[in-house]
Amino acid sequence: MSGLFDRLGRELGAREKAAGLSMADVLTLPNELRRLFNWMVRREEVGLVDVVAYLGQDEPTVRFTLASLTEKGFVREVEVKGQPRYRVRLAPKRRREVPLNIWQALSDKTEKTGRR
Amino acid sequence: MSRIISVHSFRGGTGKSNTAANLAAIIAGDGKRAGIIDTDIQSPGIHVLFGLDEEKMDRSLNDYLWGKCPIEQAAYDVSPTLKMGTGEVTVMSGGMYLIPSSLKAGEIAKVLREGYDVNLLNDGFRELTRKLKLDYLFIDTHPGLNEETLLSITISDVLLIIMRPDQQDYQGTAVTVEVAQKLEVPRLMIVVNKVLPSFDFEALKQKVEKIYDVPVAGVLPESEEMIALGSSGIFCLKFPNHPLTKTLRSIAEQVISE
Repeated sequence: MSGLFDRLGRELGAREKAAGLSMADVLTLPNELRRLFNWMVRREEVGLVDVVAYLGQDEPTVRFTLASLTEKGFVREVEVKGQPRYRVRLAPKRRREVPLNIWQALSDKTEKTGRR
Repeated sequence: MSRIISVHSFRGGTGKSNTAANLAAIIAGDGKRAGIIDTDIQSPGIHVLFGLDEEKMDRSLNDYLWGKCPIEQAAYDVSPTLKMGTGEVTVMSGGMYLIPSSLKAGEIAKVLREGYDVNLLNDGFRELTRKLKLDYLFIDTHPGLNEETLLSITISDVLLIIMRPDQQDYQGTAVTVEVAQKLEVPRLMIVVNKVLPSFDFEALKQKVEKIYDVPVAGVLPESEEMIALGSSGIFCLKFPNHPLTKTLRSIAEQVISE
């Protein structure tokens, strides 16, 4: 994991604050960061102790990392039984940008056929 | 502990939904609790195999994603509809649940137009296994790569990639294998489907394993009976003694082996 936090810092610095991370974004991350996010998504949510054990880093460093990820909008903190837990914040699936009249035509068609 | 199995192919028409439905049915028939969720929101269809009438489907994955119902309320108990070829209801000590995506054009358009919260999909997979006490959850994915597929692959314990012996499938499978390795799926297996009976199945298996360095769980022949069935039922239940069913059973055993 050596150098992970330097790379994390650079990666976060280069990215805009986001409303989450898409799985396609995760694929483009450097290996160690991608592994961290894969692990967190697979675990659904993790505690500080879990992350400390996974990264093999001291608690203050991991706290700082999680705070940076939370601040950037890639991770969200939730409270479970009074303890902070962390989850990857997945970005909402973006709406398709197609001409509006296509959607209108579909709505008209479904209304005429009596189907939603 | 429940396990999540994603069934994926890079291209459409590989028999992905059919394979997923048959494997889930075999496992449920052996007394396990199996669920199958159709995350192919853009072009759903697995409900057809279970004889679920779209006109009577009043809840779907779409409703859950729009916050209209909890995920378990979008699940249909399809255990009673799994009938043997003789028409006799299969005795199942486990259970079989299907979570369909909506086939209503307006609802497909809405989900494409408005998007949805992907976190809800992630939560939904876990909620389903907990609320329905599933031993296995099969995820029938959209072909190619999109957000649902990447998420499904990431959280899977097993990824089953379906391919045909076709050059486009060979190339697409290489992409899927690369992505699955990047997402660190614990177990990756390939099924080669729709193989002409005149092919040397063992040689094909070895060739595919050598190309991708991934185990081939089974080679399934193109079957006249499967074509004739035309997705109007679950093949392994209609033809329990067919060689294709025996290979499907072998694949199911490999999928659930620890």
